[in-house]
Amino acid sequence: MKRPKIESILLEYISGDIEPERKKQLEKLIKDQGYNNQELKELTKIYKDLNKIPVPEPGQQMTDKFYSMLRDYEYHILETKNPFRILVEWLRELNRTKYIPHLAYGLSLMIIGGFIGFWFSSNSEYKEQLNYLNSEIHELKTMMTINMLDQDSPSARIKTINQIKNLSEIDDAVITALLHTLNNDPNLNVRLVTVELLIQFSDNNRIREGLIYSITKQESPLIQIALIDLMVGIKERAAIAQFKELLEKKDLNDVVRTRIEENLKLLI
Amino acid sequence: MEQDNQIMLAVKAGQIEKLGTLFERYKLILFGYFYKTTRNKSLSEDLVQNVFLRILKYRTKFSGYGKFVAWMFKIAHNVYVDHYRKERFHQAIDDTDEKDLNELSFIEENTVKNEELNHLKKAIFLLDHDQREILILSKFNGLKYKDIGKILGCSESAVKVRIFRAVSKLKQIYNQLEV
Repeated sequence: MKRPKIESILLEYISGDIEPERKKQLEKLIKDQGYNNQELKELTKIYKDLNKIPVPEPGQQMTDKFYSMLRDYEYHILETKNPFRILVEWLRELNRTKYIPHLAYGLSLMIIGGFIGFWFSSNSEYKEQLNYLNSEIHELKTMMTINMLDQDSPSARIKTINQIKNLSEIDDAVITALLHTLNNDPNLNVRLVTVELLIQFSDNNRIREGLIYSITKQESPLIQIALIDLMVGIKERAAIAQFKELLEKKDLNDVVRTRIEENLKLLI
Repeated sequence: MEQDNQIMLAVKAGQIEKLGTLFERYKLILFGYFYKTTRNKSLSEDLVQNVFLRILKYRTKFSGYGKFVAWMFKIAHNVYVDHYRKERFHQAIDDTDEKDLNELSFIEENTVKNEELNHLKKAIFLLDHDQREILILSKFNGLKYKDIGKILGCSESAVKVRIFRAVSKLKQIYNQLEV
């Protein structure tokens, strides 16, 4: 028997995963070639003991970083998939962002025109197409909203966020964009308006999870307090760990610290 | 429970948030794989992050025919090899050596059993990095020899031979440490 084949059989034996036929081959091998039984026992033990080597627990920051990366990636995909992105970039380069509302208005008129055209055709075979058109309009509105959240002017971004309140439904793409704004927008007022809007939709699981995650990401006491009050109001026990993490921060605002300490008991 | 492959195909189709389920399922396994090969906690955490970043980046290449876990470990292997090649990585290992020895000396004070594990832990780290890696992969229940072959780019029989030689070498180093 060649050496590699012998080694394969020996591995199957020491790993405890050997077929009866292979075991017979091994016994013959031991008998014919006088393979050292003690050696085999030691190899078996050492291979088994490999499972016992302790591994520490990874830190919570590994999980936090992952979810942060996932959110950023989702946001990045939304941005790159968006066909209006190029147009907005072009307008921005030319310093013509003020034309975005005009453009939105123009496009809306165009779509409504198309819609009316379909409507007047009044043929039942167009019903399906109308539904399709409706979903296209909704998607267009969503994409334009997301793009408008990226405008340079904070007041324009606030205006967009206020417009979102009027949307009949808030879909995943908008949620991702809003959570991104809440965690990354450089302007405090924009973040405040965003958190107010998101709190209104806190019965949505994804938004609630995003808000819990955001607690430790916020530096502003105003936003921190808004989030604390929300979590206490809805008795969200999943936020306890985030509160405790906040309490560990030495530079935490005193009012925020007191508010957490007072309310933590209510959650635990 | 939703199967790994179904989840990964959903991620591929654009449901990026579903990757969170796979992360929760495999974060400890991947962390253990990297920790046992590098003995550096923070580096291992970063490498786990890199694996999931690459999963996102290359998600369209997931065919759904093979096991997700084998595909994931193929990526983990590439991440490990890439880092191993970097000088910084060698430095990181050197940095952890001393810390790890301190950690081990603490264990040594406890029991004889821990002393055995202590020697084993040291012995693993004295193996060549490829021998160390194949041993760690072989101890993960979800992977068969055939899967390991695909990860490392060799045949199933070659995997068995390499594992056996790694165990033999490990025993040799272990015995030397005991003396």
